[in-house]
Amino acid sequence: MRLLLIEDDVALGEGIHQALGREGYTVDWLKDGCSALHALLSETFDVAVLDLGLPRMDGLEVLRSLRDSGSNLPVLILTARDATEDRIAGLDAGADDYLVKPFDLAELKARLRALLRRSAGRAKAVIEHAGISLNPGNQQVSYQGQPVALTPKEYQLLHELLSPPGRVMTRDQLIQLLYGWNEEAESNTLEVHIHHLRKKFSTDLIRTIRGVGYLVEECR
Amino acid sequence: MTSIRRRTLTLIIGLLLTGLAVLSVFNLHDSNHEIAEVYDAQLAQNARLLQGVMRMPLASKDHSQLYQAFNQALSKAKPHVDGHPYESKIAFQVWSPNNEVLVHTASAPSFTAPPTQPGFSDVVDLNGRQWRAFLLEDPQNNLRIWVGERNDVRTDLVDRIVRHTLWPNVLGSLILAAMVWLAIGWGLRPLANMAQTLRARHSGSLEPLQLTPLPSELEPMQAALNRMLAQIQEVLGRERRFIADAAHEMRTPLAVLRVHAQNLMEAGTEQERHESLQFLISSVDRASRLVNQLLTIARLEPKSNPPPLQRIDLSETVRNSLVELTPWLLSKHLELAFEDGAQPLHVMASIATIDIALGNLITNAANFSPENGVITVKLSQAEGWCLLCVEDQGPGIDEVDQARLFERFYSRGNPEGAGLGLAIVNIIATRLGGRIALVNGTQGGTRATLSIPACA
Repeated sequence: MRLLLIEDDVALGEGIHQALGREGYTVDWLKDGCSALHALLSETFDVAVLDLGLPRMDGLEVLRSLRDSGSNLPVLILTARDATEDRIAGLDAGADDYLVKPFDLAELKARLRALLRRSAGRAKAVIEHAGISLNPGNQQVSYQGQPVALTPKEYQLLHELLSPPGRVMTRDQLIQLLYGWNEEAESNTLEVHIHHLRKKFSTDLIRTIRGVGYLVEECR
Repeated sequence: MTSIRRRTLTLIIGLLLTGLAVLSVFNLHDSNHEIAEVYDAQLAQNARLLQGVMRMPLASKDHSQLYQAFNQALSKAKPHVDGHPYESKIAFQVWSPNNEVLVHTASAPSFTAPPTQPGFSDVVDLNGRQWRAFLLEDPQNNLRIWVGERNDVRTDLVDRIVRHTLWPNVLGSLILAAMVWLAIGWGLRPLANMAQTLRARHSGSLEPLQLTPLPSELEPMQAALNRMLAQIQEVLGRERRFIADAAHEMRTPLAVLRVHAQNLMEAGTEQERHESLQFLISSVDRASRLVNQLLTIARLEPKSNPPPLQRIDLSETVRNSLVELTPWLLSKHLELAFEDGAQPLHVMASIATIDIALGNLITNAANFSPENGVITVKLSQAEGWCLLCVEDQGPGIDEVDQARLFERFYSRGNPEGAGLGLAIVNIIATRLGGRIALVNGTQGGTRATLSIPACA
């Protein structure tokens, strides 16, 4: 899951970056409103964590511009502004959730999971599909009742493809979502991960749409 | 508790009674005098009447018959229908040349020796009674005619006159006092109304007072009260804003602390633990800095207790302050240059405030300086102002910064700063009657200039 963190406080950003990285997110971090909006409009993310008091462009403005562009990206506002009016303004500007500093990291993680669940059109915490059971809470995956050991990247790839199933993901999208800006992906790594997933589950789990991308089919 | 009503009443009644007393004394004296005049004249007249009778050219036998008749008639004076008790208080007697009493009233007093001094006199008889007397000598018949009157006749009369005039006065005064009491109360009613209005207000209300009608005497009071209320409201508002801002600003360092503490708990490797600990420590430092600056502002804020200003040598103060700051700057790989203005510059300030202001300006400059940058501190004098300049080689300030520089908690995107440094310098500049300005230097960087009025 690729997450854009927009936070101008370096120390806080470092902490969130570290914590969410450990949780299995691909975290990209920007420190000002302008570049954040630019990134949000031009790249693919699964979710964004947005501070409000940002240099160059206020967080609310970033959010409004993002929604004006037609994006449905789940956005969680993380701010020190705790007044009810601020919360209302934030939610009305298009935020999906609002968390006030100081906050509990576990709560932030849980809220992010909830946002991702909703955006995948799911109410249940655990993803179940074709015998696969994926729990974003503890990142455990099982297949037909048996636990399956996945590398972090394999887990992320499976999570993306299952959120929700039936969606065709292009190769570029998947690479962006898996690697962000911090890691350089080798030319055939994605194919290698796909191959491993097919081996660990079943060969027909992931369909290749030639020249377009990959797809986990919906259950019939 | 003093009461205006009681005070005024006491004053008015006091004056009234004093006036009354003075008038009464004068009256008494006057009455006494007039009564004495009339009575004295009567005594003299009675003496002459007697003299007239005594001078009758009679044979000596007839004389003794006359005396006898006199004495007989006079001895009948008794307190009954034909008489009056006061007859005992009025007396006369006539002495012959050889001190023989020829004629006398029954009431005539006895003396150790018959009086000899002609004219009016005050005498005491053998019974100790006081008499006012008139002695008329008749050289023709060699008789001495004494007419007297007991003093208590007169004092009785005077007493009565005084009593008759004093009582109505006293009674009148009491009625007047009651009326004055009511009148004062009526006159003071606007004051009572004001008190009532004030009492009826909600204790926390800072709304301006609006008395209707407003007597001109209460106008300055209402104006002063409203001025004070406005000031309190302003101070309270400022405090509330400050507390809200401060609490708000504490959230980020607290959030940082919490995030890194949680990361520390979940850290898998020694290196991660170490990293988180370092973040924790720097977050605590940052929170401490914020708290310190908030305290500095809180100490600078109240106008009631400003640190005393004294005449200080700015060059010396700045140099001493720089001595303290240099090790810190060197540890940040920055260089410091101090360009003294040669002649001593004197200002009215306190060393502590100059230290704080300079410390904040230098910290700002350091935070925005490039590696190995030079921070230049300059002192100069121009047109009655002492100028303290701090220049850095940083990126300078843009228009957005310029507008918000002195805003509290605006930190120009510097993660180290709480955004209070320049706000503090601004407060100090105002306190010292000076100003602070930040501009871009001619060769890049920021130049902060603190101007303080020079003193001779």
